[in-house]
This record gives sequence, structure tokens and C-alpha cells, in this order.
Amino acid sequence: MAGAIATVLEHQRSADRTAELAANSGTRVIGYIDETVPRELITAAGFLPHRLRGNPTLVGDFHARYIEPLAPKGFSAARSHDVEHVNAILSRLLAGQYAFLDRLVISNTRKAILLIQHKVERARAHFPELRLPRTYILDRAQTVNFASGMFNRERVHAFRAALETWAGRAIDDAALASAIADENATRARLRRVRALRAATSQRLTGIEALAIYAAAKTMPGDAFRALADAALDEAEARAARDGVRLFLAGSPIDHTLLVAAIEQASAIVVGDDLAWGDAGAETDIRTEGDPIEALIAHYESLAPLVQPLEAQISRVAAAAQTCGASGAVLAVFRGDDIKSWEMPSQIAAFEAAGIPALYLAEQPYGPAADVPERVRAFVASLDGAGR
Amino acid sequence: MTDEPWEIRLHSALAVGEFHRAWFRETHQRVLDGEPFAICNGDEIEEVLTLMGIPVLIMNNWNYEIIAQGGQAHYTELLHERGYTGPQMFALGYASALDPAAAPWGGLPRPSVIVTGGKSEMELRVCELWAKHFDCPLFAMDFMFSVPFDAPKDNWWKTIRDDWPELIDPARLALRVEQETQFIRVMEQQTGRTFSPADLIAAMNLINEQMDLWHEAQALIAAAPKSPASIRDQMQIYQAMWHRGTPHAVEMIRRYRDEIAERVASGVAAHPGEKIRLYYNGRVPPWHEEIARRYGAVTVCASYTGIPDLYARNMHDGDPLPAMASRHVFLFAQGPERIIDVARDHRCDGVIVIEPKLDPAYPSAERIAIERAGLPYLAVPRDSADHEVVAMVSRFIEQRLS
Repeated sequence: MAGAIATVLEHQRSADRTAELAANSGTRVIGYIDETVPRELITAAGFLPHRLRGNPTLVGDFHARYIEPLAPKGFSAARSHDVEHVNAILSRLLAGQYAFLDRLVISNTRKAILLIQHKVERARAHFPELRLPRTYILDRAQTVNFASGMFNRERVHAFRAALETWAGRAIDDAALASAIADENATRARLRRVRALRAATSQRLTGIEALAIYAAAKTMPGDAFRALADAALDEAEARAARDGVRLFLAGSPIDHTLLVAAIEQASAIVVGDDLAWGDAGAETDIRTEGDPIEALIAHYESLAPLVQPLEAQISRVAAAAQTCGASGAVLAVFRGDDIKSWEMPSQIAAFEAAGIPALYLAEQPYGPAADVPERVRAFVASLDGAGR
Repeated sequence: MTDEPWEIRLHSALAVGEFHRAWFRETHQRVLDGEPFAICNGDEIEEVLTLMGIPVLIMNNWNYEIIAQGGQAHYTELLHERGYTGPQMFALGYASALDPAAAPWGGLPRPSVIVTGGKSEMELRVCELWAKHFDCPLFAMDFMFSVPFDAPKDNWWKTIRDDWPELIDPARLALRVEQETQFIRVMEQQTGRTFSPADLIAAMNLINEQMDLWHEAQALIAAAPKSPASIRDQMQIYQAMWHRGTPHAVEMIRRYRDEIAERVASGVAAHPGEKIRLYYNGRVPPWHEEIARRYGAVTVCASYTGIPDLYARNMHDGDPLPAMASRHVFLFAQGPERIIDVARDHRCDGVIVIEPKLDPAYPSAERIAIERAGLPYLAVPRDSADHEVVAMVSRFIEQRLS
């Protein structure tokens, strides 16, 4: 019988299968793209939330075939709207790999992601054979101030109302409180993952940690928590392994090929600032008081993607220090102008903290061919420095 | 070849350029004298700053000044040295602060505020770095959520002046109005100057008057047998936009309209050799002179044609702020429909669009719609006069338009 860690890694390879099977047996599955979408509301409305990600091994001319004939050039061709990981998700949608979704919720966290809504709706109208899900925009202000906070609050209320319409019933407070408690229980497991991977005795690899994190977003809650408990118990019981401790940050990488390349170079990724990584293990939603207000407060507190720069830089540098990283790898996708304008400040902050950094700029979605060699040289330089 | 000039410039367009240069010098002096001044991204809230008597430097105006003085390569290299990868245009202003000695004016002094919005995430990031460098406040305001990705309805550009409330998400507009109100309060406190809503109403009316005159001028250009205004002059006159809401801006556009009317009456063309009329989805085509001289193929309209119409906004219930803010969150949407409208209005023989990700295997949205409308279409991969692009334009004219 396969161990729990092997089961998690296997789930990672077919992460959509669970949700697809649920959909085939009548469960309505709501897809979403990033951490700012309150999964708890989706669950409380009786749907199964399922987070979307790209696949670096998917080959096809989906964008050219279905989007070029539909999307005007002026803005869609702009560099910042043509980001690798966002295109990868869109390609999977166009390839029909998310046809089991009842709806797709797109949060307005960056323009490239928002543009998915426009592209999917146009493609849905023109190519009905693609079986694309209907979309919903969960709007969110990009600035951080009182007015934008009030704006975001109303958008969550509007999202609740939309879910109620789709479900044909109201979301009662008891159901929402229960969903919040379940997600808090999931976050407790994720914090255990974060602590174990960051521990001095290295018993959980970056690949394994990311696989558990991913399972939390693609499995029903009860099943995930049981599997995570077993996987973590198994990891804690095994021997520690050697490896130079690295922190991984940069673009919101949603696959594990880069982590695999790093860990094949005698290193272990002990912490990260990735879209599917440590960030999901943040604080719980408070359980006292009005559950919808607690939910709004929690999602409002999540680190905004764009502003402010200083807060973002210090948060990431502190995370790398907390997990005791000897070095940092910063990988930024082509077209990711948000991150590329952060990296020089981020590198300076790492250096100030005594953490050398390897900057992989203008990267394709799957790692570039020279990445393993560059990582090996970087790891060797850290080893040579006696780290 | 004849001795006739290939292009005849408009006095009114040259005068706008001269006025703007003088304004630029005067602003420089005011800044040197220690007046508060603002660096502002285009189409954010510069009207209010102007009304409060605060000199405002528009970011792209400054960037183009850097380019005009030959600084683009130096500042791009400087940004690359600092780790900022990729092609550079918007961030040249920020780069000029890192090496002011090589910049126009010997660099900018510390502004009172840097103002930007959510049109582009990259621009937000660059402005944050710029403000940090100057140790000055950054004021950022949110943008519309769906536009400009999706055209709201058919022919929206013809009705937006009045029905803007129907085209904009009301919650987004309310957020922007709140942020602009807050900005005005902050600037009043910071500079000791006051904002007058009555002055803004007057400025909004002046803007509408300016845009009406601009519309009249463009209608004359479109209808004339040969275009009376070169695309270079049409873009040159655009500098009047940076002074919108002032009586002098209205007068500059009035002179432009009048000079075009005179040319139409006397049968003067900007390009006497005009035989073929083109639409270009850019600014002034870099190959314009070469192609105009070789084929008499003249670009008579381009991306900015008709944009002044979209600045005009009627106030509702006498409140100028929502009308102005509506323009700041939605100036225009993208799409081939407006290209077709402008090209037909200007009786174009062909349309040329820049498609950076040109893939001959699949037609673009523009190609499909524009050819369906009966207009010959050419996609070029970049805004350049290199050999490949000139050859593509030449083949297009020889094979489809001649």
C-alpha cells in the first residue's frame, strides 16, 4: 500500500480528477483562480470549490486558434496582459480540461487574470464546442485605502448574492460558520506543513510541501485533512535529509518543475512566496461574531498583489529569514511586469538580510533549459561560502 | 518626381508645439522658484491640479521630452544595470531621477506629489519607486474593472458624452469619485490652495467646447477630397490636450479648425501627391514619408483620430466630479469596430494594424472584422520603418490598393 506522501504526490499528478468525478456524480463545482476568492462562501452555498492552475506539459496552439480571432490587439497584446502562467490556465480552459466546472470565478487581482474573463466569454460565444464555463468577476480594488476597503466589502456581499442565485437558496450563517471552521482546520494543517518544511531537521521536501498545499485546494476538505495528517505524520517519522536551504519567490508559479530542478541540485526549498505555497497557510478566519464580516476582514487582510511595494518586499524578506534560508531563487515569468519591477528591491532586501539571491528573469512558463545548471552553480557558490 | 513638397505643415499645429515648449520653459522656472508641482500620469486628475494653480508635469510628456533629447538609450541601459529588464518607455522619467544630470532641465526637483492610477500595474510599480526616490507622497487611484477589455455596446463612442453613466460600473465610478475627492482635500491641505467646484464646471464646459471644435476640424479632414492635415500635424495638435480646460487650449483648436476650413475652401492638401488613403493603428507611421513619396499613399487617420470626441462629457445634475471621473475610469475601449468607423469616415483605401504576435496561421479579430467590412487589411509586426515592414507595406499597396 502506498504511503500518504506518495498518495499526495499522485493526487498532484491528477489534481482535477477528484473534482471532475464529483461533477460527474452531480456535485456542482465552482472554479476559481487565486487566493483572494473566499472558498468558504462557495462551500457554504453547497458547491465544491476547485482552484485552477496551468500545466507546463500541455502543448497546443489554443491561444492562437481561439483567442487571436476574437481579442482586439490594442490591450490584449500588451506585455503586462500576456503573462505566462495566466496564459497557461487559459490554454487548459480552451483545451476543454475544465469543462466540468459549473462556473468560473475570476478575481480582479491583476489585469492579465481579469482578461481571462473577457477571453473566455468571447470564446464561449463563438466556439460553443469548447464547453467553457460561465464566468463571474469578483471585483477588487487595487489600491489600499479606506474607500477601496469599503468597495471590496460590498463586492464580497455581491458574490454571496450571486452564489445564492446560482444555488437557488440563501447561504445561512450556520453554513458559513461551518465552512469557515473547516477551512480553518485545513489552514492548521497547512501551517504544520510550513513549520515542518522550515524546520532545521529537513523531513519534507519542497515538492512534497507544495503537493500537500495543492491538495488543499483541489480535494474535499475532510478527505484532504485526513490525507494531510497522515502525510505529515509519515514525514515527521522519517530521517532528515541534507540539502542547501533555499527560498523561492517571484512570479506566481503554479507548477513544480522549477522546484524539482532546484531540489535535483542538492537543495531543498524550505519556504516560498508562490501562488500555491506558504501564503495559503496564513492566519485563520476569526470564528466569533458575524461570519460574513469575519470572512471579509480576512480576505481584505491578504497581501495585495500590487500595492504597496515596500510592504511586499519586507514581507517576503522576513519569510525567507523565518525559514532559515541560505539563499533565494527569484524566478519571474516573461511579461510579469509586477514582479519584474519588484525584483531589484527584493534582491537588495535579501542581501541586507545576508541572503544571496539568484535572479531568473524573463522565464518561460516551464523552466528554461539552462535553469538546472544555473541553480547548481548557485547552490555550489552557497556551499563554497560554507553555508 | 516633381518639385512640389511632399507635405505642407499647418501653422496652427506648429503654433501648438511652440506654445507647449514655452509652457514647458515657464513651468520649469516656476518649479525652480519653489512652487509646488505635481508629476501626474495622463488622464488621471490633471484638470484639478491645473485649476488649483499647481503646475503639473504629465509623465509621458516628460518621457517624450527625454526621448526627444536622445536620452532613451542611456536611461534604458541605466534601468537594465539596476536590474529592471525588458524594453523601457514609461519608466524613463523614473530613470531620469536616478541620473538627473543627463535629463532635460538637469532633472526634476522633488515634486509635491506623484499621481497615478490603476490603468497599468507596471505604471503603479514604477510610480511607487519614483515617489520613494523623491521621498514624496504617492497618490494612486483605481481604474475601471472591465473596460478597456470589452466594448460596452455598439457605437459606444458616439453616445458616451451623454450616456456615460450607463457605460460605467456605478460602484467603480463611486469609488473613483471618492478617491478624487480625497485627493483634492489632501492637495488643499498640502498646498494651502483651494479647489472651486464652480471653476471645475467652467473647465468642463471649456473642455467640451475644445472637443467640439476638434470634432469639426476632423470632420473637415475626413470629408475633404485630399486630407488638409497631415497625420504629423494631427498628432502635433494633440499637445493641446495637455492644456485642456483652459481658454487658450480652446483658442489653439479654434485656429486649427479655422486653418483647415481655409485649406478646404482653397483646395490645399497636406500632401499634394495624395492618391491612396490609409488608416494606421498607431501614431505617425515611421515609414510614412517613404511610402507617401513612393506611392502617394498617405496616412490620413490613426489611433488618436476621434479620441478628442471621447474627452467630452456632459455633466448631469450640475455635478462636475462624476462626469470628470467617468473619463478617468473610461476613456476608450479597444476593438475593430471603431477602427472601421474611423476608416470609413475618412474614406480609407486600406487599414494597417500592428500585430506584435502575428501568426499567419490564424486571423486576428481585427483582420476578420475589417476585411468583412470590405476594407483591405495589412498586419505589420511592429511600429518600425525597417526593411521588412516597408516591404510589407509596399507589397500591400502594390498588390491590393494600386
